[in-house]
Amino acid sequence: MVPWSAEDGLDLEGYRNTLLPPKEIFFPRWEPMLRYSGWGRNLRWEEVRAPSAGRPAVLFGVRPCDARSLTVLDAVFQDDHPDPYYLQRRRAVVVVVLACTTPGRSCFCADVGGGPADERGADVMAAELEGEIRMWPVTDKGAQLLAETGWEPDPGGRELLEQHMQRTPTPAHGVPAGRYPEALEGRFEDPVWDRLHLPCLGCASCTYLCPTCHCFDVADETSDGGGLRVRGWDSCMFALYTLHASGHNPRPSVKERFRNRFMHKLSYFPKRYGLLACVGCGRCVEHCPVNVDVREVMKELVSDVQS
Amino acid sequence: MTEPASLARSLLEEGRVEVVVGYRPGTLPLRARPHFAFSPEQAAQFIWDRTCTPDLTVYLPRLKGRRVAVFVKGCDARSLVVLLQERQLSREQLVVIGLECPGVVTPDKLPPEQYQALTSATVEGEQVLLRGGSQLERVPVEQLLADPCRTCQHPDPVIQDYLIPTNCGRREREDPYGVVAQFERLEREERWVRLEREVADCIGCYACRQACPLCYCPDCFTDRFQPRWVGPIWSTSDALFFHLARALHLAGRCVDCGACVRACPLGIDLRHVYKRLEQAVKERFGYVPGLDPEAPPVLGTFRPEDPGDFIK
Ligand code: SF4
Ligand code: SF4
Ligand code: SF4
Ligand code: SF4
Repeated sequence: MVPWSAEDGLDLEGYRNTLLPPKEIFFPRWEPMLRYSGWGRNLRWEEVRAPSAGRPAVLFGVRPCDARSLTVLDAVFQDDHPDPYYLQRRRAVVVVVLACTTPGRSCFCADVGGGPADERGADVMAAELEGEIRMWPVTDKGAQLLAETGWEPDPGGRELLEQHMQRTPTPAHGVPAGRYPEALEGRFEDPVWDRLHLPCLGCASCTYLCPTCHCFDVADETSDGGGLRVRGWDSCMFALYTLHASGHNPRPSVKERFRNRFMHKLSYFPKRYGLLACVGCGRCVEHCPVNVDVREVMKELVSDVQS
Repeated sequence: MTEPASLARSLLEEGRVEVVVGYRPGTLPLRARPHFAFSPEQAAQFIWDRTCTPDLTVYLPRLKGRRVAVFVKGCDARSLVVLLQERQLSREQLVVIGLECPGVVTPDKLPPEQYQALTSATVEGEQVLLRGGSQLERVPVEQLLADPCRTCQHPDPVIQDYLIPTNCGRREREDPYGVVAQFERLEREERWVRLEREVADCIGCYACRQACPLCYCPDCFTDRFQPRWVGPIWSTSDALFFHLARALHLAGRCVDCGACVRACPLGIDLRHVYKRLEQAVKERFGYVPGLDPEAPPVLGTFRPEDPGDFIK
């Protein structure tokens, strides 16, 4: 996503989705938390926030899968330790979702409880229909934005979109939704992981590009006599992620890390928050260097139980 | 049954190996993917064509000590040789199935919007058929050929127990250091600006490192924190430091398989840096990595006659 100004115009030709998900707007690759100097009794510190934190903005063109991913992130960042960095940005940003009138080849939102016209996570819903952008509010925040910018809310848009969607192929690949927590119950030691993990390289391409992955690390960037405490993205696919100070690593190989990625998305997360941590955006499908396809992994995990 | 499949099948049936690592069709156009066969039945899926891009030798250090058969193209055979030179594997554990390589195609050569709109693609001789819904387009293989394949000096595997020949024609090799010369023509300041610009979008996912068969260190410098070399701030200078340090660690080792560039989701391409290091090692030490499993690694050896004029 990039800053837009009126001179840029709007060209949606061929736009499927952004390479990086909108999470980077709310939960940037890295951000400062506090600055400190001195030592012991002379320690001084002050809280710092990135200039982007809390700056009002409108995100235009977020796809429905990604908008739904924001509800997944909200669940985490509003949990028992509300996260001021994330929430401050979330409050200041209005999300305008653009329905997918032509879904992409790797999209499978409809398999995981979403859909190309899903309004969850949207403040304003927009759709390009018959060569025109139609917009209607979903939340009060969205209604306020439309009122302030002088857009006439378009109540007919929703119906028109529904009609269009009935003529559009559903972005589904037969990935069976809804059964994951049960299907994965007791599967931690299942031999299926021995096979499924084999091609995985153990990079973070899938998790960094995933709109719902939200792991982070907090570390100090030190310099003479002080430093900056920083929070940045981390990935469960890295060995360092679980390395203990003792040198022991409870997830010693790619197999354990790969298993965690899927168990977390499909079992631990839904059990805790009632939401799958995959919204079917297809980014990991498109960008895994070795074509590990989450849709196939999901099918296999469920079909193994049935057979 | 295809030739790769029947060969793999017989190796498994005869119990010569525990596992065969090769290619099978992927779920995206023009993307074959790694396949691991442990049983003769699983061998049926093996293919070999111009979409078989991954360098499979990246998996071998993980399979150390096991009897493995692996499919290797020309460049992959050279990364395998480097792994042998560096004692990461033993020759006895391996059955090497060489693939005479006509060069592979990569979707990176298509504009992203065009690639994403494809529903399927097939390579037929020297043509690639691209299908997007009802649209059909033919483009020459040449247009989608991966950069390393354009300059490849060793398309026939330098090491092999079996060889699967190609029936495709061979192409003229372009100057391997053309990409270096192009970069070196720029002013010094401009070169720096270009390097910074190239890595500015890097998100530090380390897909490049993980896809590299020669980045096998269990403890990469990026994972050390006493001192911490990169991060937690991920600025352009951190990204550049990561990339230049990785490049230096690959000097005299990189075989130009292209896996790192293809793996990058952001399309970051520092091939010219790696080629420059390859060129320097060749000029100074007369050494080309990955040709002889018995040759000591160039930067792991000292000879009194080694040039020292670069130490100032
Ligand atoms: S599944 Fe693919 S993208 Fe994800 S860690 Fe493994 S190799 Fe990297
Ligand atoms: S797991 Fe893959 S398909 Fe699912 S939300 Fe994440 S990137 Fe998208
Ligand atoms: S650095 Fe890149 S081109 Fe060189 S061996 Fe590693 S993956 Fe291949
Ligand atoms: S694969 Fe690309 S984005 Fe990831 S670390 Fe390497 S250069 Fe950076």
